[in-house]
Amino acid sequence: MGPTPSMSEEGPLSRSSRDEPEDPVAEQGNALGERRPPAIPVTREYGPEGELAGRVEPGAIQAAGAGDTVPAGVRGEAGGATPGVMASTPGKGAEAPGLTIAGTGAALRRAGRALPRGAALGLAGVARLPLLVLAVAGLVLWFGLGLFPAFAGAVAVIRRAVNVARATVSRWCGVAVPVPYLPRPRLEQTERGWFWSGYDYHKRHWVARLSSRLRWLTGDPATWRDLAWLALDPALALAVALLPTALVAGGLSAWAYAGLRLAGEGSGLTAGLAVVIGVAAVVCGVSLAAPLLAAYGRLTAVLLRPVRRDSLAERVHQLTRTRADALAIQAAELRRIERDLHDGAQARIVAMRMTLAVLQPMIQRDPAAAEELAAELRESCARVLQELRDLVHGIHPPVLAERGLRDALRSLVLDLPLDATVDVDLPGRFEPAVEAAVYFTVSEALTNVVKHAGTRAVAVHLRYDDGVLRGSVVDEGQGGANLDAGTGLLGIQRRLAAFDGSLAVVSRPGGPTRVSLELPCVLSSPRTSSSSEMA
Amino acid sequence: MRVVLAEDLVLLRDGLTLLLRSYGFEIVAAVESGPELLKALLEHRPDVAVVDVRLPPSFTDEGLQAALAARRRLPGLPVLVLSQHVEQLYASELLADGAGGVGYLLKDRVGDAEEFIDAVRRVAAGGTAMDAQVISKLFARQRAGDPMETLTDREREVLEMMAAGRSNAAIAQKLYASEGTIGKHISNIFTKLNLPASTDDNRRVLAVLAYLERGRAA
Repeated sequence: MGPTPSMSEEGPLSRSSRDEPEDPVAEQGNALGERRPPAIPVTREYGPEGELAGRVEPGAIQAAGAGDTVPAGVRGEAGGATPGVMASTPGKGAEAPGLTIAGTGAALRRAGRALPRGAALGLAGVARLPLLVLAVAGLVLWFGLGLFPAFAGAVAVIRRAVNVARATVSRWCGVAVPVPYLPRPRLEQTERGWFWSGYDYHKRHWVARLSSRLRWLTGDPATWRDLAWLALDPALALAVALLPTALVAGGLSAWAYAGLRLAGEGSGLTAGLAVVIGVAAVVCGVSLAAPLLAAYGRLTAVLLRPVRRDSLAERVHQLTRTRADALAIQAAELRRIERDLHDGAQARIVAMRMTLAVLQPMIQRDPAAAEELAAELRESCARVLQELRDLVHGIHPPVLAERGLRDALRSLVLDLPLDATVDVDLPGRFEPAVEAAVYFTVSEALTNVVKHAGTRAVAVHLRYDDGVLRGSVVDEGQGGANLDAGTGLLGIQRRLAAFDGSLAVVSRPGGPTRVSLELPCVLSSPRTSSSSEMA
Repeated sequence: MRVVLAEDLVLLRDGLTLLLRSYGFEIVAAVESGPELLKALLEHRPDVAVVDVRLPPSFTDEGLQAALAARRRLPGLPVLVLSQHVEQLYASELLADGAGGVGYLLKDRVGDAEEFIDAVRRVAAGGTAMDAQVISKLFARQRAGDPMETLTDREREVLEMMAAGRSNAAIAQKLYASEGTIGKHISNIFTKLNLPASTDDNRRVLAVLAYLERGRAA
């Protein structure tokens, strides 16, 4: 994996995106300043890989769960806009008031591009009419016969097609049209086997699944906006996108008519009129092509991009979920500490008190036995201290508090039977909670390597760039790791989600395993002199 | 013997003061923060310093940093570091200068007064006192096919004590064996691990620790 700074390259789940050499839409999206709050893009990054992503990061783009493709525009947005890209936006700002020949040439080239694009979009708009029929059929089957899955299937197909339209419009019309779909709620199972669909509990898995799908699809305004767009688009496409091409074609045929007229015995006046009309039509068509294409893009975007309310709703949804998760994790952590203290240290100290009670009268009577008991007490005392040490380590590792992530991770690998390379270069310290979340993520990943990978070689990597902390733990073991296989990484994933962070596992059977994390965060303090001394 | 003591918890500081005094040490300074410690170490140049890793004002590894800083200015200044937790990372930082006269123990060990005082004396004399936990962690990470595997159980036991910084006499006493037997074990160990033989306790410890550390770097 090359040392590329871009997020889509770095994101472990965006393998598909890596295969594409260039992504013009990404640039356009950036140039147009279409950005979401930084938190969302990070989670969205994991959309394109389908099912896994749906489970890994519920906050990630939902379309992925339904197998839809996420158009490149979203990736571009997520990648974080770089101001420098602005310059590469085609055409913008090229026309100075005094029109030069070069300017005219550029305008003509633009028109030349816009004409076929408009024509293609116009025809595509008409070609999508069957989808509308499909949607209506789905609705009829659902309401008439209760066949909800038919509607769900239709929506899945429609989303796919509309996403293609989004990508095309993004690329051709200079308007970024991100995917607006809400994240698909994840099914959760309680300890007693109930499934939580995100709205209700169900005993059966398929009922819960169906219910959650139904609510998700119908509750998402984007579903209905898609359908509205499908109905409006043919007319819009014909009137706006196809119009310039029609004008040019009309003009050309007027010329052809004039030619025929002149070749024959016709009157010169009609032919002249036809030529004039033809010229007017062609000029109109050529000069309107680019503006109308852009107008079509803007009109399309009105319906197809996420409305502000949607993205806020999505954000609220995500925050609600991660807040609940964070509190649940915290409560579970407190319960664990309580249990450990109760069953461990507390119980041992009670036992030690009892031993002391026995010991005291024994000192006079049987000094030898008393000596033995005292030794036992000392042993118990050492064990209590060790237990407390382990407990403290599990709450917040002392080295982490004392030295920060780099040394804590170095110290961590020293204690494991691994040959680990630790490549951590951070400009300073982060909030303790962030540091702990990252530490325990790496710790969990390394523990999994020790348990399952069947190799000693592992590489830990951690960097902080552009406000995002990115890390990976890579081993060349036997692979086949799965987020769902154990609860450990899932818990970690939820812990990271509370910081808008995300976790991804890529592990082919027999191949390398890569656990990566991304976490938007700010430095709480720059590197201190003492820690750089140590480095 | 003159001691500088650094510990921020009053209870423990008083306890340590009492303990050290009762064994005939003279406490020339008992401080409670990192900056004070560095100042006291440079000013008093004690025979040995007993230092808590975590000290105010930052409550990070300020004690350790102060001790390391003092040793950079006064090479070989004997320092015994106490901590609620032991880390191999800190141990190797303490040992890094190879000058000896370092100790690194869990605070619990203070509970065993005799052994603790023995460790203080050893460090003051330029020796090493490594906590058993550090050593056992080092032992735990040896690879398969390591020459360590050719050691007998007894030899491993001796190696552990040697790595912790104990002298032949102390090991012999602990294992109820004669010093001659221990000497034989030790020379066997050095042959098996292909280490340069040395009679100097401290150099011996460093060789062994370096060997154990190498196990993980390879």
